Amino acid sequence: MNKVILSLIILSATLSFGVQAQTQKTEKRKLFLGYYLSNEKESKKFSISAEAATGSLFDTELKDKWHIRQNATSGYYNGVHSNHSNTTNNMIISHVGVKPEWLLAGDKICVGTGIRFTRINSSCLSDTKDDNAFFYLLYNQATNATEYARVKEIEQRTDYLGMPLEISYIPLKFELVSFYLKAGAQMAFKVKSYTNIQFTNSSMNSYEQSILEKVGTDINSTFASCYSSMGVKIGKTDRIKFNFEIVLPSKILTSNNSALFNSSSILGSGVMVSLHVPVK
Amino acid sequence: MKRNIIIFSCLLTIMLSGCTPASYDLEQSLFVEDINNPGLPEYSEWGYNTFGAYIDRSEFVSNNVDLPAKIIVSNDTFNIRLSGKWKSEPMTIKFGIKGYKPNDFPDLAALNDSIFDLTGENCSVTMTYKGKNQKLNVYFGKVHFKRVQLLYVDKEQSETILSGYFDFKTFLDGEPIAVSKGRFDLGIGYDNFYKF
Repeated sequence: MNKVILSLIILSATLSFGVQAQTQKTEKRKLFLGYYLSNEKESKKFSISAEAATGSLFDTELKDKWHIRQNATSGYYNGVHSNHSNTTNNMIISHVGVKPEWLLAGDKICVGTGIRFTRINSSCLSDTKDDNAFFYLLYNQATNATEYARVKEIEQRTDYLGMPLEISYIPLKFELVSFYLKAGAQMAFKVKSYTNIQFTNSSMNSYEQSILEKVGTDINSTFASCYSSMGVKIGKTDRIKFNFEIVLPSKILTSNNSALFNSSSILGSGVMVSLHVPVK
Repeated sequence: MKRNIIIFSCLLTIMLSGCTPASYDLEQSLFVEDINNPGLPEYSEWGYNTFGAYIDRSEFVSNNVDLPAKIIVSNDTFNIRLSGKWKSEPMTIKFGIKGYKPNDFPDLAALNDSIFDLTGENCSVTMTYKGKNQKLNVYFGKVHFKRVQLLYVDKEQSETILSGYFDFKTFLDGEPIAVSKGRFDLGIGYDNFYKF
């Protein structure tokens, strides 16, 4: 964990140094990049953005180690037999971050990297709309004794801290609006993880930890994904800009990032918003 | 205006009836079909309150209206009654085991992984179909209580789950029949255990 924090501090320092160095070396880069810096006077080459995004996973299936009794469903006879799952499974990945960005190639290409805090929120709750709804969780099975707990929700929250690397292509640029396509990847390390079972009977709370230990909630300490998006940037040149992006289906490169679900490893679409502040 | 109100009321009724909440009572029956044996419930040990078997080609299965099982202990005989439908008619098959006398449903744990030969002298099989009650002359078959579990819900004893298999061959109205691929997963508690 300390190594992770140290790595991030070094990364931040490197980025800060890069920013200062870039300002000082503008003249040199002009000569070096030639054509690519031909629009230098029209726009600032460096900006810092603050971003926030959220997306959910396609097709989350509860892991086999969670034994949940199915619910009785109406109309399963008369030829309508169903293998009905009685839980709603959600896996939402959100992040916030700060990201320095550089414009290159005549403002056609933008490269960004920075620090990102990612939260993976997995939850499993009864699929009925009733406020008192619950499901039966089988948590202990001996030779001739079986124990169920009535559970409202199982939730796991895992926080990761990491670094994204993104490259954007800006094919269309107007005075106030520009459109872009982005590809990126991120690598992050686990900071903390928290799993909670919400029982219907509060007397069961004292058994929560032993149940979690028995089922097992260990997860991968790294999280990596690659993704793409398309978005629109709104704002005047050299002023604060607002970005809105639609994140396209993405790929999670690591496995076991949730103790609850076997994810399909395909991250469903999401949205990202960010604010860009140009830096002189 | 009146017609609109009627149409709206009808739509509302249809919508609300489609939102029937799922029941999470352990007493409810939950049928998960066995894809390898269509029409029969999958073998399970969850206390889904279902059973099923093929009688020749037709399914004899529990339903969600009739209580699928009752345990009746009378005199010195243990009886397990399976009530369902065969060829759309109500039918009950009762297995009797002489000499086994549990006092209450937790005592059923003693049945865990026990097999009873239905051709034995201490066993009997009775069928009630179309109002006719007949003791069957079983010449081959067994009932296997594969797993018997005492079920605790939130640390309190709730019921006993009996899971297992059965099959036998007998005669019905003089004609030989085979009861095959029988399986049961039954929750036995205060409501369906009787001793007198």
